Amino acid sequence: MMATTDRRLWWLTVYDPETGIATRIVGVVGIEDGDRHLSWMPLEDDAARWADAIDNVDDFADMIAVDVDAATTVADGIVLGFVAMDVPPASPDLAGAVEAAVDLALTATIENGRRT
Amino acid sequence: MGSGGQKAHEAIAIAPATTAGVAVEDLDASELYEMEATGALDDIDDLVAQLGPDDYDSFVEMAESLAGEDFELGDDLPDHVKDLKDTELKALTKAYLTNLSVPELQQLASDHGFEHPTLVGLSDSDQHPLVHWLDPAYPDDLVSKTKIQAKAIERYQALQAGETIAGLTAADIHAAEAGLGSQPPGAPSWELWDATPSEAASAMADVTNQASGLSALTYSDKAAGVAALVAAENKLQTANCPELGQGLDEMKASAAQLVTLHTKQATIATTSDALHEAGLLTEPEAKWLSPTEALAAARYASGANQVGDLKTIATDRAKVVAQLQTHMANGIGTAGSFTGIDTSTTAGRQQLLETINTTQEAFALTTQAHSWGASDSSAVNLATLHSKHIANYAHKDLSKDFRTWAKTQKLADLRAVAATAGLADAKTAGTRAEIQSYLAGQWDTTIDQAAIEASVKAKAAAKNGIPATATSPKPGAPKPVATTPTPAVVAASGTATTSGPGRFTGKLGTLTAKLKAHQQIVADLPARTDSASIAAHNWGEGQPWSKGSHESSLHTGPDGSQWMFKPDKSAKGARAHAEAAASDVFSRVGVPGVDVHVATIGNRAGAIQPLVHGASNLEGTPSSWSQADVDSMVRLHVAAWAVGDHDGHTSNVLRSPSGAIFAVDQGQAFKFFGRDKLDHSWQPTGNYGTPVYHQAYSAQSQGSLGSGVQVRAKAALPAIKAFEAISDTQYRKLLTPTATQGAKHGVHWVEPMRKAAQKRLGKTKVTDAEIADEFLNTAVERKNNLRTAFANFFGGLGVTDSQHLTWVK
Repeated sequence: MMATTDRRLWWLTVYDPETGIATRIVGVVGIEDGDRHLSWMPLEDDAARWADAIDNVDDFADMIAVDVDAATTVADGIVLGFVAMDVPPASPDLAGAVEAAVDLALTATIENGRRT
Repeated sequence: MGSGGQKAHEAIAIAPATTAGVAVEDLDASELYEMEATGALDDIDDLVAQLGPDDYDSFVEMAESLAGEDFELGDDLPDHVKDLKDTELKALTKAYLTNLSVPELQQLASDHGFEHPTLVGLSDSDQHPLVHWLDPAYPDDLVSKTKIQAKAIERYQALQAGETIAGLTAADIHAAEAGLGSQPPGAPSWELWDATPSEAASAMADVTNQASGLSALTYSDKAAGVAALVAAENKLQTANCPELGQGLDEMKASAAQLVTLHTKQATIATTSDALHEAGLLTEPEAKWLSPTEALAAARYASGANQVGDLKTIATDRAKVVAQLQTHMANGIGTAGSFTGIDTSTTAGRQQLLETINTTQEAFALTTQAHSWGASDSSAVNLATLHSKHIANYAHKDLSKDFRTWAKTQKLADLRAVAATAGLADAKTAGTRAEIQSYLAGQWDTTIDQAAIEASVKAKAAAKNGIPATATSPKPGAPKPVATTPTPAVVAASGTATTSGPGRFTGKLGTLTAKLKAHQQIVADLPARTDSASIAAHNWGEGQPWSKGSHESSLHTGPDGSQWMFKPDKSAKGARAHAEAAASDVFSRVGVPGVDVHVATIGNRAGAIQPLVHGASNLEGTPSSWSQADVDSMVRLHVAAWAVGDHDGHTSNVLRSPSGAIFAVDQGQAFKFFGRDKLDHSWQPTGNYGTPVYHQAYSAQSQGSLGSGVQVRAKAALPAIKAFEAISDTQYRKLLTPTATQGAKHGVHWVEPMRKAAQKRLGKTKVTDAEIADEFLNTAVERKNNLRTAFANFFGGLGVTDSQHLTWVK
């Protein structure tokens, strides 16, 4: 299943205001044919606030074009970064591709918990 | 010491080999290295790949079991050692789950309460999110697991709102998950369905009608009426109707309330059967859940978690019943189960022990089964079970029959079994009645085991002429001889053969047993006392402990505990230096042994060591030794060879109270330097008893080690590496007092060292200093050659992994 040529996906990351280092992936956003699909990692309490900030970005694709330097301060000094995916996960629709990327992030951020 | 069988030890004085971290760290580093280097983990992966979803519960049990072991290991072990077991478990569970197909993962997840498992794992990634969610090596409440479930629910809600994801609609998900169910085969499928508003209303009406008609039914029809009501409710609860929106949810809540209200008074003994006949429960669920539990398990409204839990309970109970039936078929719990057992043989004693253990298990299972009935007194199937099984065969009746049978057995043999079952001092004290009662008390809860233990302990103490609170052996008294491992050791070795999905479980079990053995020895033995404290301490005159050729006295040590002093009359302190040096060497290389120091008390030089209570002799039958035991013996051999001690027979290898083994009495250390050989057949003339490691090697060649236990060259590696870590200068310094004192007093090793020095120096006469130097050269050379020497030695014995010593650095 091939993605359409104008489909683009980005990891959403947050940066520690103290260090300026990206701390974690908090979501995935994608665009295709003027549509946008956004999916946050679960249990991110600030997701709604960040979503508002993203909605305020008028020309999303233009901002994204500058890749990781594209970032916006959303609140409390938190910087939301956008990291483009070279090869988005294959899916028949944009939502599927974004959710597949979220799945990748889910399995990439497993905690090192010990059963007690 | 240890020059003959006539002599007994004056005392048992033990100390830890070293700090816990060093010994355990080295051992486990070797273990991990070996597994990685030899591809053992790959082998395990291959094995795991052959397993299917049915093996999942075994992994869960293993994870839970090992988590419990963590608790037992306590805080003494470094975190990275604790992590070892955790790491290996995670590698195994991940390998297993990764090899399952996506439908299998989804089915397993559904069975274990995951909602909408088809809505995660949308990428083509190698690791499916459900692999992590199902992984029993990680705690269930881990945030990363919670996130996976949260995302699935979020996506389902999006679909319900009319969105599509990856081309899928809510209807597609309903269809895909209809076949999953969260039930074992035979249970209702609870197929989700798309209803029109009128179909949903009709389903609600059916629930109302069934509920209102329930009270009018006769008693004999009531159970079927409840089943029909539940079926109607499930129909409504599984409906999906976006058009009704929240109205459908309100309808479902109302129906659930109605059903709960009407079934409360109508649930009777036969309800379970009726639910099964209506296809709402499997037969085991109907049989082993109480009617109240069965009703909850049959209702979709109970929620996936509760239903899943109840189904698991039913499955577990069915297993218990199956175990009980097996015990019944084997006559366990009846007087006949002891008939034919002859405890005059080792096999007979083992058979009795196994029968006792199985009986204990059978009664425990029966007690467990009784508790099900307690949850609902109308559980007719449970009542049926109880009447058919051994619950009605009272504990004390069996005890009476057992005593009758036990009278036909020799008391000494029963004592041996009781000792193995955990009764301290059973070998030397206790009446026949007490011994028999103690054994019966393994299953008979009316017998006061603690009272018997206290009585036997008091009698043993009185017999030894010491207060009941002290357990040190009387001077000259023989060490208690155990014929089988202590319970702790049985448990540890048994872990390796725990039932489960094959070899990988055994592998983990072996590792766990090994860690546990080290933890045991660390917990049992007092900390080693530094030489400065020994030298600075005023030992006082002390109290006489034994007289004659094995004269000794008791003193209060720097730590306030009792220490035993043995004057070195014949060698004027040289032998004490040798024994103390050997003790120091053992300590440095992580081989548990006696904490011996040199002290001068009353103008007499000698060896002094702390007394430690509760140790017993090692059982002399290799077939009963665990893998941890044999591995410990291999390391003991390395240390013993390095210090030239060939006296490690069963009287000089003891078990700590927790069951780990350690060496005592290096009184022969260095004695045969220059004459001895690293050879399975070599033994000093006149020495009593074969060293335990040579016994193990012989048993291996004769196939008489325990099942699954083997001599492993790699077990020697931690000790060898520890020796290699000691610099030559440091080693010479450590042994210099032994060398100079030995040369000065002309001990046994002086003559071969004199000849070697003469040859090396090309002189016909050499000084004591040159002889001492020759001794030190020999010791250092032996230290540095351990790896090659043991590789050759094990190679000569045919030990399969002997090359391990030469290529693992």
